[in-house]
Amino acid sequence: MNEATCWVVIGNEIIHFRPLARLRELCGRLQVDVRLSFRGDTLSVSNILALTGWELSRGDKVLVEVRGHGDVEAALRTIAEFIEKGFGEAV
Amino acid sequence: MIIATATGVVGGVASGIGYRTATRRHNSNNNIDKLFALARRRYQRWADDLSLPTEARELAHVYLALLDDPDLYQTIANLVRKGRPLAEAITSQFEKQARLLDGALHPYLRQRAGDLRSLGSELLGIEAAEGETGILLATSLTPLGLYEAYEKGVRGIVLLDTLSPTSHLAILAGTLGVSIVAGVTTDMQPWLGQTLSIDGATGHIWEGERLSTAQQLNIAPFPLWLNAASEREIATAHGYKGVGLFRTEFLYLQCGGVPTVDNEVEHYVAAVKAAGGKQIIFRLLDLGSDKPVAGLTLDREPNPMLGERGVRILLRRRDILERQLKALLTASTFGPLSIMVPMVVSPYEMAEVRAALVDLGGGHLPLGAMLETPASLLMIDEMCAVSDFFSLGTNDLSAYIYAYCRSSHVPLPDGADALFRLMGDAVRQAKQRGRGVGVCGELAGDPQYARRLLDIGCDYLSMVASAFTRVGEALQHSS
Repeated sequence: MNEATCWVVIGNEIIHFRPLARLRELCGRLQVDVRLSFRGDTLSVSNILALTGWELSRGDKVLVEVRGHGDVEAALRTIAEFIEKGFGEAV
Repeated sequence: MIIATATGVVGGVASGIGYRTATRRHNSNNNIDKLFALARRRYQRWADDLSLPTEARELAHVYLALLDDPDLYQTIANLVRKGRPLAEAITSQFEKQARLLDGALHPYLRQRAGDLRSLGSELLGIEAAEGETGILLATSLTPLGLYEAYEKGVRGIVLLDTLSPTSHLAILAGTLGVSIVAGVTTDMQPWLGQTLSIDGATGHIWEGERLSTAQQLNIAPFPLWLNAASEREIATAHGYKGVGLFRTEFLYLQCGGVPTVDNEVEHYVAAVKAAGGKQIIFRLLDLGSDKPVAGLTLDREPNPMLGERGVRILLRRRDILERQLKALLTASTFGPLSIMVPMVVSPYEMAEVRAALVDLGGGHLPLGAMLETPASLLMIDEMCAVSDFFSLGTNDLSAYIYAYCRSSHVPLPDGADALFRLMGDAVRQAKQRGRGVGVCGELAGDPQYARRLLDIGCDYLSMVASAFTRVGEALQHSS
């Protein structure tokens, strides 16, 4: 099992269901387990409701932790870019 | 208070949910896994309906993700294990989670509480209309309920509940072109079985048939063509002169690979038949970029929008090109059709496709090029030598001109002058050489640009059926 982590900064006004559903789908496609940490709390990307409860908004810093069997560094880069570019929404 | 979504007047016989003809089947099923699996299947069918716009399908993915959220499933399962009745466990957990959203600081998140509750009510019971296709009367409606009613042909809804404009229900109605009049306090009972007309823009409800804005507005003088991806879209549209863009990706995206030859032929023949003798322009497979298909498109391109897409894939995979051309040749025996090549950047590509078409005995079919790259417009003289007609693909073209991708949602800079200068020059030269030029990008369905596109010499504007009224009105006012 390989691991990789990095910090990302949120660019969206507010993170709601749709961006989180897209993130979860991306992580599934990349076949990695991904956890996010924010203000001392850590959650899996499948915890859509609890993640929504964080009310992440522009400027918030989140730690991304990727675990998997393949090239987790590449997966982490893809995920970090997806998050920083606005979760597929206009920022 | 009446809140309406602005999609125009629709009419039909009224049927109801939560009224006399209602069938609300409470789930007597007391197995949580079966309940979740059933809900998942229904949302998945919505998510997989490729005839819907992407935005409409994406909402289904939200609910699929929520069904997998351990805070819902696990907590409910634990409550049931401790002896709570399933329905009660579902109600209490959804209410608890929805209340947390109700208390959110950001107003957009507070709106999501209602969306979450809709998922809870889908788990608790299935509401279904009795197969009517006209106007649906309902006390309340979930996004899934709206999709399922839409699938049966419902295009207008009268709702007792109020409707927030940013709710998933309103967003979905907007993307599907369904009119909703909500917050209706009148007793709806007498309307059941009657013909009703509703105006989704003003909230008016009339008994009896009323001409829709589109029917009152004579769009006949205007060259409005239809963009479609399925036989159903062609069969349900009215007033169009021809099909300016038939997307052939549908089957490939649906099966996530290459469909059988029979399937492909059948699909094209059905579309030609639905067009009923009107010209239909089939665009060859336009995969790549935001439409990946395993085994056909390249994985891990650093920038797929500038990568291998459209005709580039077809020239690498001649087998796919040939089977598509063959299928279209068969379909052409059922009605008039033309073939259009996507993402062309050079006359060479058109010459290659034409050679393949001639080899298969299809030299008589009109073959045209999408003009959606600056290169193809700059080389328009040479393109005329190898193309019978053109269609402006304004989505990609604006992206390549302004270096903004469509998902940036940025309005076209400088009133789109650069785009119109390039298009205007190309259209003029193409027309001098006797070539027809249409528009099938989103700009064609934008009332702001419709008149301007005709003024630079475009012969027709091809758009989704739901844009006919707004574009027809804009053209009428500017003529």
